[in-house]
Amino acid sequence: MTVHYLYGTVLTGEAVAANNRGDNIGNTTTLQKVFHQDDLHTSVSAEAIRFALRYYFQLESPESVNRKFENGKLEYFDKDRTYWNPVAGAVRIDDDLMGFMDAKASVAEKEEVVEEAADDEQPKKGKGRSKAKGTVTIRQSPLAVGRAVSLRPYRGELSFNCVSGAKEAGQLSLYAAEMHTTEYQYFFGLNLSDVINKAHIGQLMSAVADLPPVAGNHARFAYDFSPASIVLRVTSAHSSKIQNCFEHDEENRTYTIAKLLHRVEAGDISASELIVGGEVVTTTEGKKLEELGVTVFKGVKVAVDEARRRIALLDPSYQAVAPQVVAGGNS
Amino acid sequence: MITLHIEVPYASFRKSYARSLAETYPFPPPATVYGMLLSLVGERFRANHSGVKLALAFARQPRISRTLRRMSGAKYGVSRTPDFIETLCGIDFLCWVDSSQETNGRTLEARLTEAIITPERVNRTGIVSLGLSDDAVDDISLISDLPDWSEKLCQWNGNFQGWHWLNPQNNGQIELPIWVDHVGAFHTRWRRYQFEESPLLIYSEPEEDKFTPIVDPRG
Repeated sequence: MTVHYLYGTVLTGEAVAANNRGDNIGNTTTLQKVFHQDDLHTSVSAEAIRFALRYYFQLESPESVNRKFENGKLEYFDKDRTYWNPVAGAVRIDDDLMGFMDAKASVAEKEEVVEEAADDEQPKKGKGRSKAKGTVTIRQSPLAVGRAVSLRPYRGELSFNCVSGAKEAGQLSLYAAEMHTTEYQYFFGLNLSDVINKAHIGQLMSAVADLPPVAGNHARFAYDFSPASIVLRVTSAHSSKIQNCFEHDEENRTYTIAKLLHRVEAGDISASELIVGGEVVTTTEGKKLEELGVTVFKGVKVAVDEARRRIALLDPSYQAVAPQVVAGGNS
Repeated sequence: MITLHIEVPYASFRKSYARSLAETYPFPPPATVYGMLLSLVGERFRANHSGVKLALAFARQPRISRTLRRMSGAKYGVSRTPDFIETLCGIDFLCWVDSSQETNGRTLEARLTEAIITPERVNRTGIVSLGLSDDAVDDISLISDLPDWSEKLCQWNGNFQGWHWLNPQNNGQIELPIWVDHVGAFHTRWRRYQFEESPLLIYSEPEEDKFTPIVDPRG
């Protein structure tokens, strides 16, 4: 069966980020930093975004998830996953999309385990099975999420603070916090063929369009991680070529998608596979994308719905991904 | 022989002897590149393309940044201590794949060409990633005319000056695994490399001494 993928790059709106994630240098709380195009950028980990996606599923339907985050604690519906039955389609959304692992030390190379499993499917005559069936310890996540990277390079914004109220000896607290006024972009990729319950694909896309706060381990600042612009690609190609496709244009105080345009013009990305939505389509480069045959929408939600429609048309098994029409509009 | 261009914005290749600080190798180890190529073509048995040879040249030396990965024990029920990870940023390289020494049926070269030109024929799982499964490969393309392609790259990117070889060299400063034993260390194999500081525009196929044979030590 042909493998299909959904790739996406999300660009958030501009805001001030000041999430320190518990890291500090002396009395300065720091932001995570990585290098992007040889410049220093701030970053939010993929784990934090994954957590927000999980949390969306939980908020939408607590019965649909195996792992719940409640009152600061992780709670399982079934830690041993005795319910897990991919053949019957009995899977929960977080296990289906995010995978899982029982982190015991390996006792055999992965390929030997695969070989053994393949042998088990066709048992040799007269040979007894030595292993219990049905134990699942690992499922590779069909979903990959890249780290969020600031669009703008970090130039050292700092705030200086001290404890408020009456000053008492020994109680004086001085601290500085690193901040960054920027948009963030992050990438995600989903192997659609690996998803057991295809309806989960649609739910993931709704989650991306309406992401709960991504704040790592401290929810101390409000930063909207939902897309201001989104670039989606539904394809069989094994590499996305759209990862982090937004670049900061320092001269014009804006951003550019020149590399993406170049790749579409060069034929490395088929224009018919791309769907672009949000603010970027109103730019000159957005209009150029439209001229090249890319499907563009002013809104993010309609772009996501279009991707869902395209996925639903791939194969009859994907029909459940189609956006459902409800009174008052699409959902 | 085929030439591939591979681009990965962020990845981490944890050193074999790293303890609580997840230090990364400064370059993707050949064992990992080979694993990614196998994943791309949907091959689950490493030994099936034993004998293939890889040569690597980088657009630049990737930079390393250190980030905090996990702080709270509440969320995943694990360690409460800070957990740092090193991330390799901006991995952009050429990989030559030479299957002339392969003996097991269809060559990796042929399967890679198929996976890139006619991806719909290949059945595989997950997203193509280099190292950790979140570290997605942004671009993997087949380069048919490298001099022409490099010339266009120079025009497109003013900062591009050429490729830096990662030369296999017995007294090189960088040690990278070329085969990894995930259960113990008995079958892990290493090789030393030297990063060529000066960039070169490459016009012909690499010489024999640039290649690393990937051979299954388990026989």
